[in-house]
Amino acid sequence: MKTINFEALFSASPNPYVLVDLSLTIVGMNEAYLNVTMREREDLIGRNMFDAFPSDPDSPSHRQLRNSFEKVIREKLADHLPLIEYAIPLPNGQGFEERFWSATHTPLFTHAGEMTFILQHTVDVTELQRLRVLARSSGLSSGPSALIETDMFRRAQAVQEANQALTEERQHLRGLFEQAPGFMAALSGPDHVFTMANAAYLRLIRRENIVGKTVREALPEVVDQGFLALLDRVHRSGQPFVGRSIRIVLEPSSGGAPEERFLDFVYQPVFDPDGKVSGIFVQGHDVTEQKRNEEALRESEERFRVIANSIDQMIWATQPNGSHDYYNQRWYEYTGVPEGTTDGEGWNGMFHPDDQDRAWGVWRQCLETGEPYHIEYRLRHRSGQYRWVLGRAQPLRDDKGRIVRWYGSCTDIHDLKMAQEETRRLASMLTERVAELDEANEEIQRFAYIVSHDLRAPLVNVMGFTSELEAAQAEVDRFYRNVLERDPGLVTQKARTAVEIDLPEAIGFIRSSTVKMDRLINAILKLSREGRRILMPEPLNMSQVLEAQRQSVAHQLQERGADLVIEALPDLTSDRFALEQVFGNLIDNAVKYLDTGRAGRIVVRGRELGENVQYDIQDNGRGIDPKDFERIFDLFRRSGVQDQQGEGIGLAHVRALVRRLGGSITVSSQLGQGSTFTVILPKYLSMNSEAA
Amino acid sequence: MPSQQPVTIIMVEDDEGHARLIEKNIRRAGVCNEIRTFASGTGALEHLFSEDVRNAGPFLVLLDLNLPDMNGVDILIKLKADEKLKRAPVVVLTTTDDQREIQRCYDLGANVYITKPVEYESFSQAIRQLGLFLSVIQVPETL
Repeated sequence: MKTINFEALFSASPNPYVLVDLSLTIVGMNEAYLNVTMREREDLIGRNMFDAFPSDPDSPSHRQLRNSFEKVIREKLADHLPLIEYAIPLPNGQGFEERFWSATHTPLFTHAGEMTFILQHTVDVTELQRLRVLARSSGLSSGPSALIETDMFRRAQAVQEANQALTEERQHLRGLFEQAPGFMAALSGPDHVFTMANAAYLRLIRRENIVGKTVREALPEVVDQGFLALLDRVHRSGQPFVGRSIRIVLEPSSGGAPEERFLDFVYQPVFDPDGKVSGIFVQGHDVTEQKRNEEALRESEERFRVIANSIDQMIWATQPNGSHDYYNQRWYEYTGVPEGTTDGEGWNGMFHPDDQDRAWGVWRQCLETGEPYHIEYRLRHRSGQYRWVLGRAQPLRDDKGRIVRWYGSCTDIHDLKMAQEETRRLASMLTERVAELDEANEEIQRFAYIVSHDLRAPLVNVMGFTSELEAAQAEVDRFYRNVLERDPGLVTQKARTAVEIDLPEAIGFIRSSTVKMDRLINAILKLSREGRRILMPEPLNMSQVLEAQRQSVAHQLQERGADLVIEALPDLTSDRFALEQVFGNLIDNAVKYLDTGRAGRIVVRGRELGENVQYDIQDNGRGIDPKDFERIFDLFRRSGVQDQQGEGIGLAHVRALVRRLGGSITVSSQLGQGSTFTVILPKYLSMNSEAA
Repeated sequence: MPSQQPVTIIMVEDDEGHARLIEKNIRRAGVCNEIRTFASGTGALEHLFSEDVRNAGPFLVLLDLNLPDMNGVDILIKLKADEKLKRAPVVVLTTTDDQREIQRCYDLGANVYITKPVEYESFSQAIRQLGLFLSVIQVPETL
């Protein structure tokens, strides 16, 4: 068989041919092509098509031509350009000549199936086009020019238009396919060869260039996960498979860690015209995030449930309209009602009948206004007892501010409430008791006053008539002396004893006793009067107050050779008279009970004590027996050797005063060493601190 | 023309002992004026406000404040509110030395305030002086 010289055929063909590689570099052409383009071979070989025949890249003709080449490269299929206007340069740089072409681009493959070149077959149809335009512009629809509109030409144009529409349609579909958010792939044949895969699919599987490969080749790791078997089944049965949240582990051979994804997908069988399954269309969504969110939500809900059920409070939730649809376990434990029975508006019935309307009103008000719910009411406990509960709720709003849900809690405050009530009751009892005590105190003051007055009335008589007795006795005594002088015989032993001893003795005791009684009554009167005196707080310079006291004991100090040291003292606002009495008495006592065996030293010092001030009066006197620490503050009670004047009134008076000023007084002492009296007083005497 | 009338001493004192002691000491001090003693406020007021007594002065009133039927202060107020009787000097006798009460009595017009038990020496002195004072002021009245 004679072999055909294809090369010679190519060269000799009257049809213009040009051969370009995939970078559109011109690698060869025949004579017919050189003729029609009016170029020399040397001008064209090795040059890019668009360099050799330049055109505006934005022009429709340029795009048309380039698209055609690209399409051929992409699809490895021939493409036709039935009519393309493409100007070509005239030789010798004489400008461009407008030409119309009809071209076919055919891909050429090696034996291995690799595409290497594109063959362009192009026909110059310029004359045809010119005639056609001429015919159209001359308004002739018949005659010789009409003949030019050959069937061939019309067909060619129709094909091109259809082709263009199809191309656009395909581009559009491809665009949709490519850009679809869901993943898509087309599998062909029983071995499931990828014929298409969109960007989402490639992103999912994290690999490229899978078209032409089988699933087993492209995705080896999914074989053992059952997907291949699934595909086989769809292919065999023609039944689609719909999967929801199917777990898949993808492990690209290019490296990268295995990745777990969850997919919603459909394996849709594709049928050929004979009704046989020709392939499978795969499409679906990656729902991993959704799945993870769901899981996170479930976990969060579970966590909420665990927390809600483990805390001591009752938790509930409602829809935006206030209809209850959730209670934690604690609610059901507390109320003892079956689960679900308090949903909706059933909760209101759990409240004490007296609280139902009020709670309902407050709740409705909150639902309308969105204000937080806060109320105390009585809730029926499973024991049947109504217990006080604090109810609170807050609305949860979406990003537009609309209430989505209400979340509420109930806290049993019954014991607290009872304790509060008890405290209130105790407080009012205390107030009452204080009032009673004040009254009793007042009564005692009045009593002391009246008693001392009324005790005095008979005492006045006793004292007055004692004086009368003394006067009478003086008369009797004079008479007795007369008798004794004139007639001693008349004076019996009994008369002598009566006049000389018994009468003066009796009168003497009566007199001294009444004097003492008068002093005691005076003391009681003084104390009771002090309790009734109105206190007048004023800012006091304590150094001055104490210096004044030093003046009043200066004489005694000098007599005893004693020192009174007044250190720096904090000032205070209090009643001057009362304080003078207090410090006067204490310093008096300190001087009075100094130890004669050593040089006396009395120190007054003070310090701030927050809201209070403390003053110490320390002496190195004879000291006080610890058993008398309390006693010395009692009325008419004294301690130690009774070698000093006094009724045992001073310290009782001091304590009464200090207490009235809202303070306290204590003593610490060691016998034979000295004593320290400590007075603590409020820095500011407030008038209402005084109960009376 | 009426010559100077001797002062009548009106003693309002419920305690018989006190009354007796006061009288004895007044007498002992050499005061011989008539003393009329009343054991109740009501009795004393009835007597003083009877028309012939009211116009019959001059008087010196010894007034105890602790009376069974009324407070001596009320008697003092009534006396000092009366056109005639307000000229009578009043000696308040009481067992209390409460400064407020003393002040009150002086404010109401008491002339002397004496605390019981009484230092009778100074008491008699006061009575005598009051008597003298009374005689002096009585003079223009009786002219």
